[in-house]
Amino acid sequence: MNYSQLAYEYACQGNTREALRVCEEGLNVFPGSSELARMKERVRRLDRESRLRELKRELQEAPRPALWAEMCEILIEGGQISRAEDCAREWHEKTQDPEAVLMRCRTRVERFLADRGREAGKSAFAALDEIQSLMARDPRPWHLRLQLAWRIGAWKEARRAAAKLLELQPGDPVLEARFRTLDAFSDSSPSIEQALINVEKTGRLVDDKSPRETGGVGGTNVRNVLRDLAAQSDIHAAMYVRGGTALVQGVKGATAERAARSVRKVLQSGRGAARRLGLGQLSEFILEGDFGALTIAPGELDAGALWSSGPISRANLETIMNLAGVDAATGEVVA
Amino acid sequence: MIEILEPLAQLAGVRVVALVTHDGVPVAIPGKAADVDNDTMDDEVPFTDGDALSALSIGLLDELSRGMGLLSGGAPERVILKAARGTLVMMPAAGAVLVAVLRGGMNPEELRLPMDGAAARIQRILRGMGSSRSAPTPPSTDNPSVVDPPGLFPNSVQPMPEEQAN
Repeated sequence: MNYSQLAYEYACQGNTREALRVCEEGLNVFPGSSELARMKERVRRLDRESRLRELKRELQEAPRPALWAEMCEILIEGGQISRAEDCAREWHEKTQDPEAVLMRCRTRVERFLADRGREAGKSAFAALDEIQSLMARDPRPWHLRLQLAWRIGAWKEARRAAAKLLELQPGDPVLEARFRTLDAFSDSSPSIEQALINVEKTGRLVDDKSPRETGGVGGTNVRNVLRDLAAQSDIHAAMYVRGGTALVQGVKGATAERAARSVRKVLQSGRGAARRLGLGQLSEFILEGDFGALTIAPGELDAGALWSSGPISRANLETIMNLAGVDAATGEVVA
Repeated sequence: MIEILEPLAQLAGVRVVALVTHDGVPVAIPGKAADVDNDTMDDEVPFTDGDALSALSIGLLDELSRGMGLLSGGAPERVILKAARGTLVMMPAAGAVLVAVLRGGMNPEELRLPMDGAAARIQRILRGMGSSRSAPTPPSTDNPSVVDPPGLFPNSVQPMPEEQAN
């Protein structure tokens, strides 16, 4: 594709800004192109890395809070939460700036939102308590608390944060509306601990879209991809699972139902275990045994899976990884 | 067991190695993993302790065995769980489970051969222990004709014979 070639050339010359512009233009014309999406992500990573190098150099020459803050922001954006936290810690050690504590608090919140583990959640709330004692009249820590409590469904805690914010910023219509909503919810509110347990168990935050809500793309493409995969001699079944439904190619009837149920159960266990172990979001899951190999590529709400007689090729793995995340409508309800 | 697990734990990219019984009790966690460190440089796994790792791994393996039971009836012989900040690899080995946690960038396939080797050695040791424990009492040496000839290889390590004093 010409767009990706052009972006590649720009990236090779070190002109990441132009490469990014070409990727975005290409994605406007071909919104479904996974190659361009991957290229854009790679270029953004390159851009972040080059800016990080510049920032490190500038921090050695003349450290300023704005540089520390930008560095932390870039690290958070790139998903390097631990490095962002270390950066914020170093910033605080060198300057004793409360902004650094606030940034560390943000990294903890981001870590929880990415991992959805109970311990990460507790650590985020502990960091919020710490920053609120340092910046009692600053609304930003309360906004963070409101966001976190809202997203885990701890309505009473969210209501408390909204009330405090209204004290600090009286007359804000958005906050007032939110406070009224929370007031209605707070009777049936779980405690913070219970809300964190629920999130760890399900892996879902309150504002995550459910599989039913996401419109998704048509299932036809997915079905064709699965059919092509299942036609290979070493593949027993190719599956796409989303919510309570699944598309299965390669096996039929009761075996297809059992295979889909197996994948769903295994996936649920794997997602929960990854969070509880503090490993973060599950990205690939492989089981080998006398049944052959079951390879699962999970997306946010869905997953692609291959049941094969042995380990699968890199190309097949990439194919099911591309399936995961398309949120396809599963017309055929198998299980 | 520690001698078998230590080389695995020292491979580049390996963060923790543990041998865990099927009821979640850690048998051996070599080296640094015994008091699993909490440094989180480069987005690594922030562990709390080896006991928790053992219990959670075995819990997961049980759930997976039940899940795979629907499909085949067989329990998984190797599990690779790749996540954002590390990879968990589990492999049942002779009444116990070999568990390894790798750093984010490491390919779990690089650990396949060393883990297979360690599992085989553990199996050999446990078989040796089992057979020596359940071995029948040797027949009386009064009748040398009923004594079985010794095997080609000993099934447990024998102490070296002391040098005879002149």
